[in-house]
Amino acid sequence: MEPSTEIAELFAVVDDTLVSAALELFPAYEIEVAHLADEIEVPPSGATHIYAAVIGYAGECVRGALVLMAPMDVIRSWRPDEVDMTEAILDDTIGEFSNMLLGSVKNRLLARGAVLLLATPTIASGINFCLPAPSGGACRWQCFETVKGRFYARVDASFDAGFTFQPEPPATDDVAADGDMMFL
Amino acid sequence: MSAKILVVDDSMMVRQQVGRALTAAGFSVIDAVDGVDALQKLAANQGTQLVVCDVNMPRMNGIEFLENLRKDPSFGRVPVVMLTTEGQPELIQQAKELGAKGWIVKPFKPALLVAAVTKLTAAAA
Repeated sequence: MEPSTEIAELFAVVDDTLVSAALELFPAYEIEVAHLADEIEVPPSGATHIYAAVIGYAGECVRGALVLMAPMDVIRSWRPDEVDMTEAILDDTIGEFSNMLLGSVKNRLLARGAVLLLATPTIASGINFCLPAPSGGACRWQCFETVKGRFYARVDASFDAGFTFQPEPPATDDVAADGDMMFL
Repeated sequence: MSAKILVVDDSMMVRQQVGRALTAAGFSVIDAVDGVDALQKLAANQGTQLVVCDVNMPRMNGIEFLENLRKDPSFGRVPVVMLTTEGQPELIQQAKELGAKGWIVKPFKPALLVAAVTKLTAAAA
């Protein structure tokens, strides 16, 4: 079932924020990334072994989860160093990137009046992943291309009646941005 | 002798990344996986000159770690720099009130972190 126009508009704010956060996060680790905006492919099914990190979030009248999904070779390329990729290191790497990605989304939405609390990442790996859409909410896979292959991100969001985002504010120093350093 | 820095993060990738940047800058680095581990490492490594600490961690988070650190006079006034995905002003203020000296939002720039650690360890010396 298609979400209502109101939910679709709210979801677009979250979804657009996810894309812009990803396009800043990965280059910060010297990973060239392109957003395949017209790509409607969901993560690969069949024999491709993939890793997924899931982090739940919740705020007043809004809740959902971020899913970050990638094959092993792509996750290996996210490491800034040469290491033997054990299962633990793969889990740690995709978990930390999902944490930084959702953290960046959270900080950006804070400027729109949404205060979100994040859980810690849960990691799964396997083939033929199937993640149903959340009931009563909205979600959409976003596909990103790197030199080592594609990865996928999806943010799920459910909104209670009456939830709104504040208008986008002018640039401000009130909320710390990615990479900011403050002496206290 | 190089200044000893404690890096606290539940992510191995971040511990290694921070450790590499600080070691290359001449610091001596030890690490811990959460706040509980960090308090134990501090007790076992007298003379640690600065702590770089994540906020969201299992068992004991970075804010709870600051609270515990400040309660224990044996740790003196070891400066702490928070390194986190969090950017919420209320959380930053809370850390400041608990004595944190710096706040860096991930993803971080290694040169910026090294500059901050160099400045704070020099000031504390």
